Amino acid sequence: MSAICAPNPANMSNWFSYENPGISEAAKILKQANEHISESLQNSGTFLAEMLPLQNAYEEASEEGWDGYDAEKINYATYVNAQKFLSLLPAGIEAPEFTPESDGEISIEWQKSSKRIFSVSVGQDGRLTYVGFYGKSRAKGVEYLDDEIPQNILSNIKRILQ
Amino acid sequence: MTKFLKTFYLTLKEYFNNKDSSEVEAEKFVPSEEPIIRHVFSKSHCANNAVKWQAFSPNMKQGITTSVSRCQGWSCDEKKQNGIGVGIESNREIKARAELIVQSAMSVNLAVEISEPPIRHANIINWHQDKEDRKEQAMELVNEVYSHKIY
Repeated sequence: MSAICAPNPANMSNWFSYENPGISEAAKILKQANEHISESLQNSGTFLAEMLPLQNAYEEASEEGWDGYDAEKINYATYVNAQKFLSLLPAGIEAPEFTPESDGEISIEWQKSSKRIFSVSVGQDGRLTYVGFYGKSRAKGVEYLDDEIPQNILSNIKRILQ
Repeated sequence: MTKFLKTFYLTLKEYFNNKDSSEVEAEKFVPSEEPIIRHVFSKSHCANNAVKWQAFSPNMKQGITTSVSRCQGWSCDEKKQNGIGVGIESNREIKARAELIVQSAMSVNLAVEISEPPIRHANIINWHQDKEDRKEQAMELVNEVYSHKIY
Protein backbone atom coordinates (compact mmCIF):
# COMPACT_ATOMS: atom_id res chain seq x y z
CA MET A 1 0.00 0.00 0.00
CA SER A 2 1.45 3.30 -1.05
CA ALA A 3 1.07 6.47 0.92
CA ILE A 4 0.05 9.71 -0.74
CA CYS A 5 2.50 12.38 0.27
CA ALA A 6 1.16 15.92 0.42
CA PRO A 7 3.64 18.59 -0.77
CA ASN A 8 5.40 20.45 2.00
CA PRO A 9 4.33 24.14 1.76
CA ALA A 10 7.73 25.17 3.08
CA ASN A 11 9.30 23.84 -0.12
CA MET A 12 6.74 25.28 -2.56
CA SER A 13 8.37 28.70 -2.84
CA ASN A 14 11.36 27.01 -4.36
CA TRP A 15 9.23 25.83 -7.28
CA PHE A 16 8.70 29.42 -8.46
CA SER A 17 12.29 30.56 -7.99
CA TYR A 18 13.64 27.87 -10.30
CA GLU A 19 15.49 29.46 -13.21
CA ASN A 20 14.56 27.77 -16.45
CA PRO A 21 17.62 28.06 -18.73
CA GLY A 22 15.27 27.71 -21.73
CA ILE A 23 13.74 31.20 -21.34
CA SER A 24 14.95 33.70 -23.99
CA GLU A 25 16.20 37.19 -23.19
CA ALA A 26 13.10 38.71 -24.85
CA ALA A 27 10.83 36.59 -22.67
CA LYS A 28 12.78 37.65 -19.55
CA ILE A 29 12.33 41.32 -20.50
CA LEU A 30 8.62 40.82 -20.96
CA LYS A 31 8.38 38.98 -17.66
CA GLN A 32 10.15 41.82 -15.86
CA ALA A 33 7.88 44.38 -17.55
CA ASN A 34 4.86 42.39 -16.47
CA GLU A 35 6.08 42.24 -12.86
CA HIS A 36 6.75 46.00 -12.90
CA ILE A 37 3.28 46.67 -14.25
CA SER A 38 1.65 44.47 -11.63
CA GLU A 39 3.56 46.30 -8.90
CA SER A 40 2.59 49.68 -10.37
CA LEU A 41 -1.05 48.69 -10.49
CA GLN A 42 -1.04 47.71 -6.85
CA ASN A 43 0.72 50.92 -5.87
CA SER A 44 -1.60 53.15 -7.92
CA GLY A 45 -4.68 51.63 -6.36
CA THR A 46 -5.99 50.18 -9.64
CA PHE A 47 -8.06 47.22 -8.68
CA LEU A 48 -7.31 43.75 -9.97
CA ALA A 49 -10.91 43.61 -11.22
CA GLU A 50 -10.01 46.10 -13.97
CA MET A 51 -7.37 43.72 -15.26
CA LEU A 52 -9.71 40.75 -15.53
CA PRO A 53 -11.62 41.95 -18.64
CA LEU A 54 -8.27 42.57 -20.35
CA GLN A 55 -7.09 39.12 -19.39
CA ASN A 56 -10.35 37.60 -20.64
CA ALA A 57 -9.98 39.36 -24.01
CA TYR A 58 -6.40 38.12 -24.30
CA GLU A 59 -7.29 34.55 -23.43
CA GLU A 60 -10.20 34.45 -25.85
CA ALA A 61 -7.92 35.56 -28.70
CA SER A 62 -4.89 33.48 -27.79
CA GLU A 63 -5.01 31.16 -30.79
CA GLU A 64 -5.06 31.73 -34.55
CA GLY A 65 -8.52 31.93 -36.09
CA TRP A 66 -10.18 32.77 -32.78
CA ASP A 67 -12.89 34.84 -34.51
CA GLY A 68 -13.89 32.14 -36.96
CA TYR A 69 -12.34 34.09 -39.86
CA ASP A 70 -8.62 33.30 -39.54
CA ALA A 71 -7.86 36.20 -37.19
CA GLU A 72 -4.34 36.67 -35.89
CA LYS A 73 -3.88 35.75 -32.28
CA ILE A 74 -2.98 38.33 -29.65
CA ASN A 75 0.57 37.69 -28.59
CA TYR A 76 2.04 38.21 -25.16
CA ALA A 77 3.88 41.42 -26.09
CA THR A 78 0.59 43.03 -27.15
CA TYR A 79 -1.02 41.93 -23.90
CA VAL A 80 1.83 43.39 -21.85
CA ASN A 81 1.58 46.69 -23.75
CA ALA A 82 -2.15 46.83 -23.04
CA GLN A 83 -1.45 46.19 -19.35
CA LYS A 84 1.16 48.94 -19.39
CA PHE A 85 -1.29 51.36 -21.00
CA LEU A 86 -3.86 50.54 -18.33
CA SER A 87 -1.30 51.01 -15.54
CA LEU A 88 -0.35 54.47 -16.87
CA LEU A 89 -3.91 55.82 -16.93
CA PRO A 90 -4.50 58.59 -14.40
CA ALA A 91 -6.14 57.51 -11.16
CA GLY A 92 -9.90 57.77 -11.12
CA ILE A 93 -10.39 57.27 -14.87
CA GLU A 94 -13.52 55.29 -15.72
CA ALA A 95 -12.68 51.69 -16.61
CA PRO A 96 -12.48 51.09 -20.38
CA GLU A 97 -13.64 48.10 -22.40
CA PHE A 98 -11.15 45.69 -23.96
CA THR A 99 -11.79 43.97 -27.27
CA PRO A 100 -9.48 41.76 -29.33
CA GLU A 101 -9.08 42.70 -32.99
CA SER A 102 -8.63 40.39 -35.95
CA ASP A 103 -5.18 41.85 -36.76
CA GLY A 104 -3.85 40.74 -33.36
CA GLU A 105 -4.18 44.09 -31.58
CA ILE A 106 -6.31 44.93 -28.56
CA SER A 107 -8.67 47.90 -28.53
CA ILE A 108 -9.12 49.82 -25.33
CA GLU A 109 -12.13 52.09 -25.53
CA TRP A 110 -14.68 54.27 -23.85
CA GLN A 111 -18.11 54.53 -25.43
CA LYS A 112 -20.93 56.84 -24.40
CA SER A 113 -23.19 56.29 -27.43
CA SER A 114 -22.95 55.25 -31.08
CA LYS A 115 -21.80 58.80 -31.91
CA ARG A 116 -19.43 59.25 -28.96
CA ILE A 117 -16.63 56.73 -28.68
CA PHE A 118 -12.87 56.84 -28.23
CA SER A 119 -10.88 53.76 -29.12
CA VAL A 120 -7.16 53.02 -28.93
CA SER A 121 -5.71 49.93 -30.60
CA VAL A 122 -2.56 48.65 -28.90
CA GLY A 123 -0.01 46.75 -30.96
CA GLN A 124 2.91 44.49 -30.06
CA ASP A 125 5.47 47.20 -30.83
CA GLY A 126 3.72 49.75 -28.60
CA ARG A 127 1.96 51.41 -31.51
CA LEU A 128 -1.27 53.15 -30.47
CA THR A 129 -3.80 53.75 -33.24
CA TYR A 130 -6.64 55.92 -32.01
CA VAL A 131 -9.98 57.08 -33.38
CA GLY A 132 -12.50 59.30 -31.62
CA PHE A 133 -16.08 60.11 -32.60
CA TYR A 134 -17.55 63.19 -30.91
CA GLY A 135 -20.84 63.69 -32.69
CA LYS A 136 -19.85 65.04 -36.09
CA SER A 137 -16.28 65.74 -35.00
CA ARG A 138 -13.53 63.19 -35.48
CA ALA A 139 -10.04 62.63 -34.14
CA LYS A 140 -7.60 59.96 -35.29
CA GLY A 141 -3.92 59.28 -35.43
CA VAL A 142 -0.99 57.13 -34.39
CA GLU A 143 1.24 57.44 -31.32
CA TYR A 144 3.64 55.14 -29.52
CA LEU A 145 3.55 53.99 -25.92
CA ASP A 146 6.53 55.08 -23.90
CA ASP A 147 6.90 55.73 -20.18
CA GLU A 148 3.68 57.70 -20.28
CA ILE A 149 0.54 57.85 -22.36
CA PRO A 150 0.90 60.40 -25.19
CA GLN A 151 -0.82 63.71 -24.54
CA ASN A 152 -2.96 63.43 -27.68
CA ILE A 153 -4.51 60.27 -26.33
CA LEU A 154 -4.96 61.57 -22.80
CA SER A 155 -6.74 64.64 -24.21
CA ASN A 156 -9.13 62.44 -26.15
CA ILE A 157 -9.84 60.27 -23.11
CA LYS A 158 -10.71 63.38 -21.11
CA ARG A 159 -12.86 64.64 -23.98
CA ILE A 160 -14.93 61.46 -24.21
CA LEU A 161 -15.41 61.26 -20.46
CA GLN A 162 -16.45 64.88 -19.89
CA MET B 1 -29.81 20.85 -83.95
CA THR B 2 -26.24 21.67 -84.86
CA LYS B 3 -27.40 24.76 -86.75
CA PHE B 4 -29.42 25.85 -83.69
CA LEU B 5 -26.44 25.39 -81.34
CA LYS B 6 -24.19 27.31 -83.70
CA THR B 7 -26.66 30.19 -83.94
CA PHE B 8 -27.07 30.18 -80.15
CA TYR B 9 -23.30 30.25 -79.66
CA LEU B 10 -22.81 33.11 -82.10
CA THR B 11 -25.63 35.07 -80.45
CA LEU B 12 -24.02 34.68 -77.03
CA LYS B 13 -20.62 35.62 -78.40
CA GLU B 14 -22.01 38.78 -79.96
CA TYR B 15 -23.84 39.62 -76.75
CA PHE B 16 -20.72 39.42 -74.59
CA ASN B 17 -18.58 41.22 -77.12
CA ASN B 18 -21.07 44.09 -77.19
CA LYS B 19 -21.20 44.40 -73.38
CA ASP B 20 -19.05 47.25 -72.25
CA SER B 21 -16.51 46.85 -69.50
CA SER B 22 -18.57 48.79 -66.96
CA GLU B 23 -21.45 46.33 -67.25
CA VAL B 24 -19.12 43.37 -66.76
CA GLU B 25 -17.49 45.13 -63.80
CA ALA B 26 -20.89 45.83 -62.20
CA GLU B 27 -21.75 42.13 -62.18
CA LYS B 28 -18.82 41.49 -59.83
CA PHE B 29 -20.46 43.55 -57.10
CA VAL B 30 -23.54 42.90 -54.98
CA PRO B 31 -26.36 45.32 -55.86
CA SER B 32 -26.56 48.27 -53.49
CA GLU B 33 -30.08 47.52 -52.29
CA GLU B 34 -29.29 43.98 -51.19
CA PRO B 35 -28.95 43.02 -47.51
CA ILE B 36 -25.83 41.27 -46.22
CA ILE B 37 -24.95 39.57 -42.93
CA ARG B 38 -21.77 39.51 -40.90
CA HIS B 39 -21.77 36.45 -38.65
CA VAL B 40 -20.00 36.75 -35.29
CA PHE B 41 -18.24 33.88 -33.51
CA SER B 42 -16.52 35.75 -30.68
CA LYS B 43 -18.40 36.86 -27.59
CA SER B 44 -15.92 39.72 -27.24
CA HIS B 45 -17.44 41.20 -30.40
CA CYS B 46 -20.86 41.61 -28.78
CA ALA B 47 -21.90 44.02 -26.02
CA ASN B 48 -25.15 45.58 -24.84
CA ASN B 49 -27.22 43.47 -27.26
CA ALA B 50 -25.27 44.73 -30.24
CA VAL B 51 -22.41 43.69 -32.47
CA LYS B 52 -19.27 45.80 -32.03
CA TRP B 53 -17.29 47.48 -34.79
CA GLN B 54 -14.38 45.08 -34.23
CA ALA B 55 -16.52 42.33 -35.77
CA PHE B 56 -16.25 44.13 -39.12
CA SER B 57 -12.49 44.65 -39.06
CA PRO B 58 -11.02 43.10 -42.20
CA ASN B 59 -8.93 39.97 -42.31
CA MET B 60 -5.38 41.05 -43.10
CA LYS B 61 -4.22 37.66 -44.31
CA GLN B 62 -6.62 37.42 -47.23
CA GLY B 63 -6.36 40.72 -49.05
CA ILE B 64 -7.91 43.06 -46.46
CA THR B 65 -11.46 41.79 -46.79
CA THR B 66 -14.44 41.16 -44.51
CA SER B 67 -16.42 38.02 -45.24
CA VAL B 68 -20.23 38.40 -45.43
CA SER B 69 -23.25 36.47 -46.69
CA ARG B 70 -25.91 37.76 -49.07
CA CYS B 71 -29.24 37.13 -47.38
CA GLN B 72 -31.84 38.47 -49.80
CA GLY B 73 -35.13 36.62 -49.21
CA TRP B 74 -33.91 34.58 -46.21
CA SER B 75 -35.99 33.97 -43.13
CA CYS B 76 -34.53 34.52 -39.64
CA ASP B 77 -33.96 30.82 -39.28
CA GLU B 78 -32.21 30.57 -42.64
CA LYS B 79 -29.91 33.43 -41.65
CA LYS B 80 -29.02 31.64 -38.41
CA GLN B 81 -28.48 28.32 -40.19
CA ASN B 82 -26.14 30.04 -42.64
CA GLY B 83 -24.13 31.35 -39.70
CA ILE B 84 -24.02 27.91 -38.10
CA GLY B 85 -22.76 26.50 -41.38
CA VAL B 86 -20.02 29.12 -41.62
CA GLY B 87 -19.02 28.35 -38.04
CA ILE B 88 -18.76 24.61 -38.68
CA GLU B 89 -15.93 25.22 -41.15
CA SER B 90 -13.89 26.97 -38.46
CA ASN B 91 -15.22 24.91 -35.54
CA ARG B 92 -16.78 27.99 -33.91
CA GLU B 93 -20.16 28.50 -32.33
CA ILE B 94 -22.30 31.29 -33.74
CA LYS B 95 -22.73 34.12 -31.24
CA ALA B 96 -24.46 36.88 -33.17
CA ARG B 97 -25.12 38.45 -36.55
CA ALA B 98 -25.31 41.97 -37.90
CA GLU B 99 -27.37 42.90 -40.95
CA LEU B 100 -26.93 45.90 -43.19
CA ILE B 101 -27.57 47.06 -46.73
CA VAL B 102 -24.74 47.15 -49.27
CA GLN B 103 -25.45 50.85 -49.79
CA SER B 104 -24.44 51.41 -46.16
CA ALA B 105 -21.01 49.95 -46.87
CA MET B 106 -20.74 52.13 -49.97
CA SER B 107 -21.52 55.21 -47.85
CA VAL B 108 -18.21 54.67 -46.00
CA ASN B 109 -16.28 54.14 -49.24
CA LEU B 110 -16.40 50.35 -49.14
CA ALA B 111 -17.68 47.91 -51.75
CA VAL B 112 -19.16 44.42 -51.55
CA GLU B 113 -17.74 42.02 -54.11
CA ILE B 114 -19.28 38.67 -54.96
CA SER B 115 -16.89 35.87 -53.98
CA GLU B 116 -18.29 32.44 -54.73
CA PRO B 117 -18.03 29.61 -53.88
CA PRO B 118 -19.48 29.14 -51.36
CA ILE B 119 -22.82 30.23 -52.75
CA ARG B 120 -24.06 33.64 -51.54
CA HIS B 121 -20.62 34.53 -50.19
CA ALA B 122 -19.25 38.05 -50.67
CA ASN B 123 -16.44 40.22 -49.32
CA ILE B 124 -16.44 43.80 -48.14
CA ILE B 125 -13.46 45.37 -49.89
CA ASN B 126 -11.80 48.76 -50.49
CA TRP B 127 -10.64 49.13 -46.90
CA HIS B 128 -8.05 51.85 -46.37
CA GLN B 129 -4.40 50.89 -46.21
CA ASP B 130 -3.77 52.81 -42.96
CA LYS B 131 -5.05 51.29 -39.73
CA GLU B 132 -6.52 54.49 -38.31
CA ASP B 133 -8.58 55.02 -41.48
CA ARG B 134 -9.72 51.36 -41.55
CA LYS B 135 -10.71 51.62 -37.93
CA GLU B 136 -12.75 54.74 -38.66
CA GLN B 137 -14.49 52.94 -41.54
CA ALA B 138 -15.40 49.97 -39.32
CA MET B 139 -16.67 52.27 -36.57
CA GLU B 140 -18.85 54.12 -39.07
CA LEU B 141 -19.99 50.89 -40.71
CA VAL B 142 -21.33 49.41 -37.48
CA ASN B 143 -23.51 52.48 -37.06
CA GLU B 144 -25.17 51.54 -40.36
CA VAL B 145 -26.26 48.10 -39.11
CA TYR B 146 -30.06 47.95 -39.03
CA SER B 147 -30.39 44.66 -37.18
CA HIS B 148 -28.27 43.16 -34.42
CA LYS B 149 -29.13 39.63 -33.34
CA ILE B 150 -27.39 38.13 -30.33
CA TYR B 151 -27.98 34.39 -29.86
